[in-house]
Amino acid sequence: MAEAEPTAIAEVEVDSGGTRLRLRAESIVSGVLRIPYADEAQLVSDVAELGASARVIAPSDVRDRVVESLSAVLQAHEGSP
Amino acid sequence: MSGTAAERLSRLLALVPWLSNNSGVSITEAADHFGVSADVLERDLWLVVCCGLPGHGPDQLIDIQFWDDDERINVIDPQTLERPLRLTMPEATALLVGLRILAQVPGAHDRGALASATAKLEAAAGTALDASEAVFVVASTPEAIRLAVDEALARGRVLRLVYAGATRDAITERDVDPRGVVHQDGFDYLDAWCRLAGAQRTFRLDRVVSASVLPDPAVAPADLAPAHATPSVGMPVRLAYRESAAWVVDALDLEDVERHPTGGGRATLRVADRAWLVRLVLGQGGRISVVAPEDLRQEVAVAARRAHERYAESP
Repeated sequence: MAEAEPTAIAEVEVDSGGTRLRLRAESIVSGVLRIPYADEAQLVSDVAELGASARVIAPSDVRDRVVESLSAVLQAHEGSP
Repeated sequence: MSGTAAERLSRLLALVPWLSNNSGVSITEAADHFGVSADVLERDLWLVVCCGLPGHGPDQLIDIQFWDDDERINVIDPQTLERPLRLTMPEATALLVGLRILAQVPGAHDRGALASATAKLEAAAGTALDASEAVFVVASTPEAIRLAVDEALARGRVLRLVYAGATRDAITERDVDPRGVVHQDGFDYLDAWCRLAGAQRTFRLDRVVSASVLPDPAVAPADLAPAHATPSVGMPVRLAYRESAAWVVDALDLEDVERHPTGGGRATLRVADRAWLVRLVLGQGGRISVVAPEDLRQEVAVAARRAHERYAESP
């Protein structure tokens, strides 16, 4: 299946790792990657899996979805399994 | 030194037919032919005369005389080993396909002998050849990487790899002392001592971005265990998955799968790298979670909390 054409750009600060994101970035300035994307859910997953090594700066809705995603992981691992 | 057990077995299997065709050669001549010392060849002969057909009575053992003062070797009864090897069509086809796969696996094996054996089999196989040509053997390792690995193994040199690891999502450059190549599940894995990690590692060769042979001699520790291409004995981790993440059952090699009516379930995954699993779970937004062991469950929780706090610190 062909990958959809990017429809938006996210700015993601990445400290270390994140090769997949770096390969997709159209530019990297002072550790901030400008990443064209079409699939927001995939971008959220790719950023979240980097843990504290990555942070979405913009857009705010992607940033909010990453925070929600991390909250869900935290909730799933607190208390009894 | 007689080499490894595999080398010795290979030599023993070739020894009797060769001696049958060269009866009367001296021990020294035979040793020269097989590239070993006379002592090693004599030990091989003592082992061969203890081998034979089922029953293992005196009449079923291979009979070779080599203890006279003239040191000549005379084959009295080779117990069928002088007869040409006969293969059935399926055996010949399987062997041809195996040879073609082996020819594409990097390593220090004798490619001239492989090509020669393949050509002879193809010539002798007759109609089996048609079947073997219907099977395409696709190399998983790029040619340039295979050549570099071949050279490093043949010359005993250090390899510099640029490697895109699957577990840490990072490209690293590392110097490794190569030990050999294993082939499993369609992929070639380099077994090596990694100087960056200071430990034995396996590298899937289709993930090697580039490989260059360095002039430094490879010096891997001698007491390393044989490599296993895949971690069949990794740490068992019990996972819970929701219906929206049920793809993990197909995508990962899970054990003890317990499917729930909700569409989700629980399953066990053997994990060789904790960091890889933590990343996997962090990216799933709670759709996959660690049930046990507890310390790994806590590790995921800590990683998620730290990531969450980063957003709180920098709104």
